[in-house]
Amino acid sequence: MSNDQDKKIKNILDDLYEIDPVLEGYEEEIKETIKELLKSKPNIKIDQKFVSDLREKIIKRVEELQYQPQRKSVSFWQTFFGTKFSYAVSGVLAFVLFIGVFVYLTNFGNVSGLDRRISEKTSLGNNAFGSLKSESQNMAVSAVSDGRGGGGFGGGGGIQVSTIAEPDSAKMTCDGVGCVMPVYYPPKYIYKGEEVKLDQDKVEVLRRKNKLEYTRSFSGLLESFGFGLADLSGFDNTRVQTINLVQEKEFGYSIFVNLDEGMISIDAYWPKWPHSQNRCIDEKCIMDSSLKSSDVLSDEEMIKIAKDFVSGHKINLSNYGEPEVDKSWNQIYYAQPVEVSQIYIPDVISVKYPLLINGKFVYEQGGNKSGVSIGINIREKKVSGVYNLSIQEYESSLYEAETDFSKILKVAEKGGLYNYYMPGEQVQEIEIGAPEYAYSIIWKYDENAQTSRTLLVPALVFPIIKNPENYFSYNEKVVIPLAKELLEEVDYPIMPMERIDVAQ
Amino acid sequence: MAINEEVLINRCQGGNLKYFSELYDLYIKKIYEFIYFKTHHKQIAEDLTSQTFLKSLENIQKYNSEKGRFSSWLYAIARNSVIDYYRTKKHNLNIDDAWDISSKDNIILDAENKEKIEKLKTHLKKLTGDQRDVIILRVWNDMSYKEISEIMGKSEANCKMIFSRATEKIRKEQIFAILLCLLLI
Repeated sequence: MSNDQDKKIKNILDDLYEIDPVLEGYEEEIKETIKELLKSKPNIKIDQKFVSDLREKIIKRVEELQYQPQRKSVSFWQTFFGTKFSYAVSGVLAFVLFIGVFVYLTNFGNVSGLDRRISEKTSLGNNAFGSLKSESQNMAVSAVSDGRGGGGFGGGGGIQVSTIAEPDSAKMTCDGVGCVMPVYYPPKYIYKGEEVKLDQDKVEVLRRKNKLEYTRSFSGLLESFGFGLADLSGFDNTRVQTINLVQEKEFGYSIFVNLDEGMISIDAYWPKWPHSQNRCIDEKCIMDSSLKSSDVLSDEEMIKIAKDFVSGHKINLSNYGEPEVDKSWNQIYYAQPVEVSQIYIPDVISVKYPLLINGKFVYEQGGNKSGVSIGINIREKKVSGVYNLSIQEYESSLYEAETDFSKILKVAEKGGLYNYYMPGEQVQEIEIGAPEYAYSIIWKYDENAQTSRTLLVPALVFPIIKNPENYFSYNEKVVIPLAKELLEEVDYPIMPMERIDVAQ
Repeated sequence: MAINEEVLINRCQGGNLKYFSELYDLYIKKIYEFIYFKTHHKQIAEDLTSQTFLKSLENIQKYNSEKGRFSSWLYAIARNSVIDYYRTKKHNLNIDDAWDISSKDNIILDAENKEKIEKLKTHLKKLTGDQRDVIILRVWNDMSYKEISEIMGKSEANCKMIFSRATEKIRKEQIFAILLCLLLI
């Protein structure tokens, strides 16, 4: 008898004696009984064909269920468009919008329309999205896509400039007015991991379907509310493109639905939120009412506030990973020695739910994870906004992959695909480690449709493992997409503009 | 990237049912085995296993992690499917599984396990359905009393008591001796 079986029998006996100590007197008999029961266990060989057939049946049933109306999803809309709907707008307008939203959503056989779109994919032919590069530099690369400022100092979209502090003057200087950033030298990223074998000659590029095909005409309904200013029924082929609703209550929200982009954003409806600093008439009052570092909530508190809001409004984040507090607002202070009293504490700190596609994170080019951001107003301990909540439905197409790791490293050395840098003789070396497989998010401007499209390209993401002393950079990771054409001719030094003399 | 069970369940409950196939992969073998132990027949076990997974897929919104583990919920569905099957087939409320059916009652057994099951049946038949289930789950499926209690909808202490009484019953009736004799034949 094996040790495992002995142990198992002993456990069973111990449990029995706990219930009825008298049984201990019959230990040998009971032990034999259990042994025989174990021996008598029928031999079971599950038929693998049955396993795979049932799996297929389940997948088919999943598909059927996902296209059926799901009652549970209604509540998100009901919350905002139902009982709590703002009465500030005219009744007729509300009715039209409500009917519009309802008809729009039910048009897809699903009241929510959101659930079934998550992670749906449609496979297209090879290179179906055309060139991944954008003509005339229209491909925007963003370090920040969700409306929050980069590192609390503005930030925003556009070109990212990789920078690094000069050691001798690296300390940021602060006074009562603000802080002055140090001088920077361009970085060079040195790979310290082992060679990665890249044996896939194709990569599956995903393109988010952002346009919702809703075209129901509203011209007839518009007839009744031209407010005597115009006959709106004359505008044919109308459709709902955006909807903006507000909650007329304390701590109310403004909900913005963009049907063209397949996105929802929720913001604090500011007229209904308190503004303590607005009451100040002098600088002392402003300073006194400014947040202190001790006011910053713990990560657990902020995550709890975010989670409560998400579950309370049934926001579907099933395609997202565990929430993380975005530390970028104070990253600069951690990197540089400054007086704690000098630290500016923002009213809103973000909690991010990182997007997961096929089990992999999606990274922005700056090395941040892409996902839904939930702003936490730490003064009020409430959610002040939800950003980047979008339908996750994708088309896919195969593109030629880069299989030469040395070429990937060449781009990584610069810090990434669009990591523009200032040319200079002096560089600072940053060490990067073994990469993980992930997706890189890229925006490509579609000139015909006058919209930008979101592409997800499989990528290698290198973590920064060692920074120079007194280092500061917004980059957390180096993201290199694996599509070959994106890696060709990557060399984008920032060229200083020629000086234009005022007199000319 | 391995995704843990809780995440898979959350995703399914969030409307992303495609992750259910991963839960299926985790449990298909265990659930099939459990059902087979109670039906002794490949085809019936396969049918009831299919029913169990399809029912759980369609009702996953009803699963509440605060009330117990997902595995226990799945086993409970399997157990009820077996009971429903025999009660519907045999129009007899006292039949819980194949152990309750007399060998004369045209029960079909798989050839491979037929001899073993016939011999065991004489004795396990004398136990109640609950007693058999606790023995199967504890001895053959190696489950804790906590899990068993969640599946059976009884308290942990009650399940321990059921097991103790079943063992005592087997001992008193000297099932061991009979089993041993039969198995040595």
